[in-house]
Amino acid sequence: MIKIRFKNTNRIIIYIVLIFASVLFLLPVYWMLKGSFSTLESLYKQPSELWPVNPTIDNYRFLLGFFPEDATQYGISTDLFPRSILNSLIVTIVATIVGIFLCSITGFAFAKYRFKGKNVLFLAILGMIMIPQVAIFIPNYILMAKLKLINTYWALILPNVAHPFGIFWMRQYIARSIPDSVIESARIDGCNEFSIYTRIILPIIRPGLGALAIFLFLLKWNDLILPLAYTTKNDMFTFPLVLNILRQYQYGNPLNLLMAGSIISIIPILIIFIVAQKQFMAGITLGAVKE
Amino acid sequence: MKDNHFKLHRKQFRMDKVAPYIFISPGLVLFFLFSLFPIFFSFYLSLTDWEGLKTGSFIALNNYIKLILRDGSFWTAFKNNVYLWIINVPLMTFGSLILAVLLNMKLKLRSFFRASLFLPVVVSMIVAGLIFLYLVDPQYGLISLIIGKFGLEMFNIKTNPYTAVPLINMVVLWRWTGFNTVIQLAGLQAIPTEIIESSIVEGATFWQRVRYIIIPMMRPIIVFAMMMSTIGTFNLFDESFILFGSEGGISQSGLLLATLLYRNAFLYFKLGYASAIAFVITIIIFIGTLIFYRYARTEY
Repeated sequence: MIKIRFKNTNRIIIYIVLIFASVLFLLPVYWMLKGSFSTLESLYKQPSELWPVNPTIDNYRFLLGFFPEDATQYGISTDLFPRSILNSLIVTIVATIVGIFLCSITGFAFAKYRFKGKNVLFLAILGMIMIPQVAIFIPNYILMAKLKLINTYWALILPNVAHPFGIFWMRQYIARSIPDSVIESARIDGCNEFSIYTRIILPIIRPGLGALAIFLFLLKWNDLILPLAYTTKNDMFTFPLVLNILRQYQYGNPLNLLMAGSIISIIPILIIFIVAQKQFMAGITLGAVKE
Repeated sequence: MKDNHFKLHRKQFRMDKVAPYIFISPGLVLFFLFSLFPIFFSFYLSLTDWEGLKTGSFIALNNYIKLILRDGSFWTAFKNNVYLWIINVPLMTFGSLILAVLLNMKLKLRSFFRASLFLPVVVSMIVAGLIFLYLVDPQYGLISLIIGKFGLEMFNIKTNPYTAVPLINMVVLWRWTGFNTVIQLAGLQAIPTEIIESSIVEGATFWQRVRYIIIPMMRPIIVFAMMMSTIGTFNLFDESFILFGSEGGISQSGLLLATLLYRNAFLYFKLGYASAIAFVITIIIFIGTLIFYRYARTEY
């Protein structure tokens, strides 16, 4: 954090810029928020209202499974709604936690050790980042089917957990932030390799881990394609899938429900973001190592 | 005693060499299974004319020839992607850098600003796309409402071929700037505050600080951000798909390379042809990224 004393005019300009940017970015989200508390008819009123005249929480109650009779018109039973939120949570949280440890320990190995084939492997990982996900999709599906993993949580967790970008990012971050001298002195002090990882590397790269966690979480949470292909049983559906089913309703988009759904989607991420913000604030800089 | 010491030294010496292999093995197994192997299999597929149901036959580079020489939509999509690339990479990278610098300072409401920049990344694209369409709708949209107050009429952004790609551009900027800002912020955290503070004491202005301290020290991150933007731009799918569907809009003006891929793979089931498209996209990304790699080499 930089403490800076500004001339007042500069300070005002900065605030104006930031507020303007925030408004731009938040406008669609605000619309979603407003829509989530409206009824479907009121969304199509002209002129559009800035805040619903008769706000309702029925959209949310519907998505949490309160109106089983109404749901059948959409072709899905409502006890699946909360179940799908649970599925999304499980898959995403497990993938994120496993992912940050996997990527950081692999990145650590690439950053601070020498071993056979290191350069070739790293190039391969680098190359992988550039491949569009759609390209490896079909072979992956065949692989999943052969391993009998279709319709399990693993099918949704495994594909991106050792994410090449994550490994690359961790490797760069560790190489930049941790001088070899720290590791050397730890070894001299009798620390074994794994403890070096847990006691030295992990605390120092906390901001980077936070960013990686957010990245991995996002990758999984809103992912539609993977669950679409790898799950066929209703009770394994994830939340984006359920939203997609609603969107394809033949008599028109139930915008109010979709908006409520997307607000629900935002909540866990907001929580994670606030928690990870504290990691950013902890801002362990290079300077700390010298203390 | 001397024996023990020698043994300890030897044991630790071995651990030193063995540890990296143990560390990378879980990650690498998964990587091979779900990333590397599918690539090779996909390349093999691109050399066939497999269409899902009947078995395909080996046709070597025919798919590629067909794609590059005879498929007009490929070049439309390519042109659109390149346009997005040229506009987005500088804008996104330096825009988010400035924003990150601003957000790294001690300001009131700082967390609020950070959260609001980042929120678009987090929102499900299905709904965000519908909302953007709704906002720019000439009849119901908010923008039309505001412009109407000035006495102007709104044209239909979605069906005008010249505004299709700018519309995608708008959505992409809205959605990904926050993401890039977060990455740059993480990099800014690693700059020792003493350097910045002492430069302020010596009278450096904001722009001088940015130009002579922040940019050089952030160079690896900046290059990294540009490379990620490049990869992301050529991989764009959700944004254009939700706005324009698999057809790519009027006269395919909103068609992107990834949409083409999706269309051929999941609608026409031309899996061999689609795999060739995937491979060509990869090569394009590779070339695009290589341009930046030159700058990444000279690290401070």
